[in-house]
Amino acid sequence: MSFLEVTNLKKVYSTRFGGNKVEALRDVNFTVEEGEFIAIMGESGSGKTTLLNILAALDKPTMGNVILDEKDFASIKESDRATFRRDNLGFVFQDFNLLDTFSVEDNIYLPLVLAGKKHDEMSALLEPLASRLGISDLLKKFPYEISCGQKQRVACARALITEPRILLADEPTGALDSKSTDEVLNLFCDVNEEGQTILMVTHSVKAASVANRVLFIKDGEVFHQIYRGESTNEELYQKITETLTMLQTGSDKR
Amino acid sequence: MKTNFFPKLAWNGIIKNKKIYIPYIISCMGVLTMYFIMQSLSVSPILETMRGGSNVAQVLSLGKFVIMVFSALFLLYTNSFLTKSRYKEFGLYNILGMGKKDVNKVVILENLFVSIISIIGGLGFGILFSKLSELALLYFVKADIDYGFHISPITVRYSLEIYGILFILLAIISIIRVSKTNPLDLLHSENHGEKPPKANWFFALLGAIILIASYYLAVSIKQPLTALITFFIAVIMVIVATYLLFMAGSVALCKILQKNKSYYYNKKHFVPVASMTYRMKRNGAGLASICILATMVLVMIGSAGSLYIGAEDSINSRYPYQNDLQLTLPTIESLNGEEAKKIDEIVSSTCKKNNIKIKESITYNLASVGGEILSDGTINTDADAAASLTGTNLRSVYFVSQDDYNRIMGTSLNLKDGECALYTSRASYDYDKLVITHGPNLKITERLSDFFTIGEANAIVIPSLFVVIPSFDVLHTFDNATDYLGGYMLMLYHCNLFTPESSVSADASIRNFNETYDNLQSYLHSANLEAYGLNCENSLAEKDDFYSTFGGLFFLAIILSIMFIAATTLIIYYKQLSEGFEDQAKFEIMKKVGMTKEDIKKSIDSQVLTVFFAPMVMAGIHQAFAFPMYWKIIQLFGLTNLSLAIITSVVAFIIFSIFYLLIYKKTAKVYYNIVSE
Repeated sequence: MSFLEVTNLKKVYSTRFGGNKVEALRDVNFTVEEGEFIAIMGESGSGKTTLLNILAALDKPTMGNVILDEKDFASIKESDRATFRRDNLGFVFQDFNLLDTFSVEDNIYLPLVLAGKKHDEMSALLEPLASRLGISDLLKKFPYEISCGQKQRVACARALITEPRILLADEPTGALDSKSTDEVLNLFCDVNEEGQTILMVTHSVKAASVANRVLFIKDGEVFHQIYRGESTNEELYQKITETLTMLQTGSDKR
Repeated sequence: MKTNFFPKLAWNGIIKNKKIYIPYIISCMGVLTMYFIMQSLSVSPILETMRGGSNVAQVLSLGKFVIMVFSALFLLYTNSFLTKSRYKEFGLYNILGMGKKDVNKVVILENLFVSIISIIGGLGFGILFSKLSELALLYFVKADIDYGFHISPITVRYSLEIYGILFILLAIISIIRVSKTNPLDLLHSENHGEKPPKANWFFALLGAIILIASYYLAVSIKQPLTALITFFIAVIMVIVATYLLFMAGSVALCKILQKNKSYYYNKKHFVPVASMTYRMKRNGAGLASICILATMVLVMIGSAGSLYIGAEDSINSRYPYQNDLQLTLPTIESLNGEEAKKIDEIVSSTCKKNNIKIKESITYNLASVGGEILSDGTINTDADAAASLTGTNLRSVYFVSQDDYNRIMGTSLNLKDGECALYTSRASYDYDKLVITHGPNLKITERLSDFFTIGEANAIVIPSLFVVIPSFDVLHTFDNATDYLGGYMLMLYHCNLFTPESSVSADASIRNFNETYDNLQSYLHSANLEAYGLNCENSLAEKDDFYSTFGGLFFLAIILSIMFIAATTLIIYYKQLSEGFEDQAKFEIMKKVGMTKEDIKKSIDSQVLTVFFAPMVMAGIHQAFAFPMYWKIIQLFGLTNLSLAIITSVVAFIIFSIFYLLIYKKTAKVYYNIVSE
């Protein structure tokens, strides 16, 4: 049994009055092993975000299963979903989603506070994490006072402080300049090396090229995948570009 | 461009924003209706025929003025909210190629549509409700019901003029607001982070100090006369303190809570406290306004209601007997002379002639003097009246002979020369001797626990000493004393009071009273005694005056309260709406981070509850501390029933709380729906 198993996932959206049906995911299958760093690539409208929402337990599939560590998402009660998310999943978003009303420190504490942790426990968890992510100096500042790269690192800290089974990242470099992008990607690699499972949705080739494996989604299906193997980042970058070109020119390699 | 393009655009703007526009139009209509009602009542022909109608007219003109000022301020506030929420749309028009002039055209047309709807609706409801409110007013002032229906053209004209100008003003202000803003900034303005508000400890502390001082002032008032002046000072202090506390104090409190780690880092408090810090900074002024409005409603209803409900009581204490005849006499001897006897004769003969059966009656002689009490208990009658008026040390002294007292109270006092018995009201007199400048030196040998009602002493609010003396002869010490106007210092009265049997109709009693009065006047005229003052009052005739004043006040208080409550509702509604949209994104994030729906609901509840009930609680406290003060002022009007005033005030608070709770429930739902969308 794999760590995360996605089988025959299908998601159909219907318009409000049930007229038109849009198939966002047709038949998605893949598995993730513990400690993997997976990038999911695809164009806008390919179903990436739908897939991520389902993996995040924010949305339910029309058909198919997602099984994390032998626990089927479908078996989780609606009322327990938020708790499940909080305990097992960490999120990093394109637009950081930090709350302006909280200081950096409090933003990172948010999931722990929701889980009912005491302040001493929380600060014990935060200290090593903050120094690892290089944000120790920022803790007392407010989100509007720090740069985008720093914001994303804070968002990572918030995602990691609960020690999640999987870190889900949605276009984590989408809003960043190239320097900050490098910082955040290095960070992802570092935490992955320490054993953190990461699942990242992106359409940046650069971001994808740091992953161990890249899945390509097209028209609601996993169209292709590339393993890093012994490749360097540059070689993987090359491979991804080639695949994307193929995908876009409509070659039917499967 | 087609000619009907702009009107269409403007109309669509209103329709698409009906969530904001409908309450705004309703409030425009509401204030216009209120004004129309007040205006039409104040010129209503019923006031001319009604007894005490001029009192009512005065009260209503006051109300008219309050409504005018209030509606201008209130519409200005809601209009600013309205315009602000449309900035983005207008900015988009601008970017899409509409010139500033065109945007202004749309703004003007929108304002025009709203004004037309509001004026038509307002006048319509005004006409509809003016008769209803007229009936309500007549009910409150206990006047006869009039079934005619009048709409005076002047009312329509005034309403059109005043609100026409106001709406034009609002349109101009919206145009200025819209054209002052840069559309590009507006499109991007939403994602700017906001600095965390700093707690202004100085203002917070200042607010607390001013509040405590004003509360102390309110509670420490001893004399109703000084209450009026102090009342205004205290009211201003309370208003200032409320604003300071809500704007600075609340932020400071949140900061303190945030410092307390084990309190702050708790699921229940974490989100509410943090967002309240921001919210309070922005909403402090609004909440303070709500608090002040609520306090006004409470104090108004509490005091006017007590006065109205207690009117019967006040009349009874002011007029212990239905007919109250009082002849002023020049000398102590004349108290038991011909004139006094003649008065009593005329009264009984007139009653007999009119077939008025007397249920109870008393006659007595009264001597009174006023002065300022000194620290050693001396009552200084030489004091300058003007100076004494502002002081709390004014005293009235009433002398009654022991014969009269024993006869009326059925007691058997037996005082010797140089002795007296004392009864005090409103302030005690803890000395062994009663020393009055120019007056006799009297040893207080007995303290009385009861005294017959002397209406005059109840009507004025000065603390009184009622002194029973062996005989009026001891008062000869005053013979050469003059008051500050140069007249004889001692006031001497012969009083004759009587109440007819209850079978006697009010009309018959008033007719008899008028005839008695005429007979007394002609007697005084024939006996060449016109210089003697004759003061006659009939409580039935006075009752109309009481009710026209207090009923009018209570009616006005109710009308204004309805308006204030409606205004509060609208302020709250707009707040919930705007905050809901602001918080939508925030709660979306929290949902992703793992906040359950239940957590969100709890967090909203605790936040909204605190924010909206803080003003209510504060208003309740304000009312409680204002009570001693307005109770003193109520006493000025002759109401002496303390428990009635307390009950009325508490009931006013409960009713208002229920209203507030309903408003809160409705609007909290609006907020939750927006947030959880």
